[in-house]
Amino acid sequence: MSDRLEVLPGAGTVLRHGSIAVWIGPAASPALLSFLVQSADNVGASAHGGLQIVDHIAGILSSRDPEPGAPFGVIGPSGTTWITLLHGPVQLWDGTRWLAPTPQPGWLRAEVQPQPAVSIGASGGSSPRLVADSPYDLRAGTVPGGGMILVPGAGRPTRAERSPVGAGPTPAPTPLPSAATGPRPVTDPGTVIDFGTVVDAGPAIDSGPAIDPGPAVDPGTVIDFGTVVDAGPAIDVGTATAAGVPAPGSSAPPVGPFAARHWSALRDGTAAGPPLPTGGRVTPADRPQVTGVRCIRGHFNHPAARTCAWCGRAVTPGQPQTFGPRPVLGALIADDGATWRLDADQVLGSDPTTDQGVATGRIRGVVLASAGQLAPSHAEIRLSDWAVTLLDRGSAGGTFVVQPGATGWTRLTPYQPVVVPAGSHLSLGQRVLTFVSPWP
Amino acid sequence: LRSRLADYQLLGPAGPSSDSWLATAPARIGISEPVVVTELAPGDWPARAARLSSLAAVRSPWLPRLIEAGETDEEDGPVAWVVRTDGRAPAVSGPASDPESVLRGLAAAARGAHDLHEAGWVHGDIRPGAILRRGDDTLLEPPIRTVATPGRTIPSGVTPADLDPLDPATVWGEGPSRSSDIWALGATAHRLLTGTHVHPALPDDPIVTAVQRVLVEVPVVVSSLPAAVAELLRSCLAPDPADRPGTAADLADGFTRAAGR
Repeated sequence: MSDRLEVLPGAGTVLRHGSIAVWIGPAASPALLSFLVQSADNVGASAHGGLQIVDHIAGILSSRDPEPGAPFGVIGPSGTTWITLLHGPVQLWDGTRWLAPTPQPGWLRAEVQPQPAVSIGASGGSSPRLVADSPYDLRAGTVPGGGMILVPGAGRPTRAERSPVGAGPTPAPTPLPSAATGPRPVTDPGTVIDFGTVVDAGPAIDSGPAIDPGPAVDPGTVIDFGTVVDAGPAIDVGTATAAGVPAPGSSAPPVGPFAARHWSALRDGTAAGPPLPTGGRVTPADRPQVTGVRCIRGHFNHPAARTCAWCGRAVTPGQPQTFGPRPVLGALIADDGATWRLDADQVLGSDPTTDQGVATGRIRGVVLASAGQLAPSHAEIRLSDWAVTLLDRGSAGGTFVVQPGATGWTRLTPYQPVVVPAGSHLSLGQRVLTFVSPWP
Repeated sequence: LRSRLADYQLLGPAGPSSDSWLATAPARIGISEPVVVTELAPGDWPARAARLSSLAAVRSPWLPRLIEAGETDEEDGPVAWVVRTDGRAPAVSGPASDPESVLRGLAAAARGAHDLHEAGWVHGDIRPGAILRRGDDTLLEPPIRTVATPGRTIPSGVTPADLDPLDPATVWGEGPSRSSDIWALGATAHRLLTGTHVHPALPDDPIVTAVQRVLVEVPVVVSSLPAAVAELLRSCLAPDPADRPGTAADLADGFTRAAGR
């Protein structure tokens, strides 16, 4: 039996290509809709289409989020499980728990086990009802809809053996976050999945162990974007021949005359993303709001700025202060010239991905190579209003700073944040970084 | 120096200052012409492969095609690599002897950048070495390194020449964008047409000083250029992105018009 996809009433779009189902909110642009349709079409026939499209979108979002406020949810199979990517104000209910990206705007990649079905729709949407033996089923195509319910078919990864539709008890759902109001959702065995009340996108939503922000592919496996296959045995470069090696893009294991840790055919790449925005510089509206002044062209500057950092025009003293999204506060320039933009909190170290905040995408990781004593998460840069602060994470080697005009290095007290003005030098693990900023 | 990478036979550097290799493709690839292999530090494979696959979906006559990517264990440890079709960067020396030809090549590169932008990608690494020749055609090198290592505005080990095409807005602003690629095209055009940098005399050491200077220094367009070309390059290098050509396609049209004068 094939998967059944029920379209819920409301604003938005539901699409299905093969095993991939997508709900897109009405705030999404036509370009985003087209991108998702094409991507789903590209991988819909694959048994691992869910992993492919989710990793594809996550790859784009990890570089840049073209439409941070656009809600959409993608779900598809990945071998023995289902994988989803939720973006913007969207929520998912898998029968026992809610998932939603936090904070907003943001996105979330997670594995789910339908119990026995999965619903995806807008945050705060109405309560959908899953009816056993419903005749409604979107087999393929793109239709209007305010959400969707995916009921995996026989043989699909679910926990239906524990809670089949129409038979047997269903595990009690995980309670909604305390911030939610109204009745909690109750899964009626076999008949109804109740979305219940509005899901608060705050931190109380279950975003625990089931959310896997890391790679979904085990080391030793190979992605070819047609399927996920085993790398197979290593072949001796000196003795193997190319005979029998599949062409890139084929679904067969890429057993070449080399020992591949990973391999990917690129010639038939998945769909490209929506166009970049045109025009001048735009600070994302989701940045923290700070007070500042505007130049004659309307560029937002530090309240003490006398020259516009964007266009170089003079900023007349006495300009009224206004609120605006905080611009980039400066940059960290390492001793080898590597430079990082200070537009978000950052953890610096030899392997900051071990930090939970970095792993979940809440904080950016800055990897530094050093022969010195550098901890995986050695120090932290925090942005507050227009200030940049530095904090030592209790590292053994310590974090040092020399501020403009000072004559020597000062070791930071662990976990005591210190404001660093522009022109300061930071030292950790024998690496030196310079903080530069266009702001006073 | 490597002689093989995976099952590619490396023939030599793909350009005078290139960090990529010209290589003979194995029979399984089905390409008899040389290909270009770019070596990368391993890591972040699933997300990197997804980004490269998306980049490979960009169809443009002004961009080499990506063929495959992988990570293999070489004699000196694990290595990641990306393979593309041919296209090599010629050496850049003094002022262009045939400026019209250079302008037409720059127009082709700008159209390649525009095709990337329309597909959602910032190039982020446009420089003289990214302007490739294949026969009579000019191509723009795909942004393999930018795509493989997102989030970093300037990579480790840069030289002053690498910094010349850097739009300060890449650092002060909201990251690479259409307009920062347009800045880089303008600085690259200046280098190819005049043989000089828009940030002349940047110090080699310490490199931190060079980075600080390009972030605050006003770029210089030499006065010996024809007025129309100089004006076009100045517009690319305008501090405010709103004053630059709106798209790389607009800039390509400007290069084409300048070549026709």
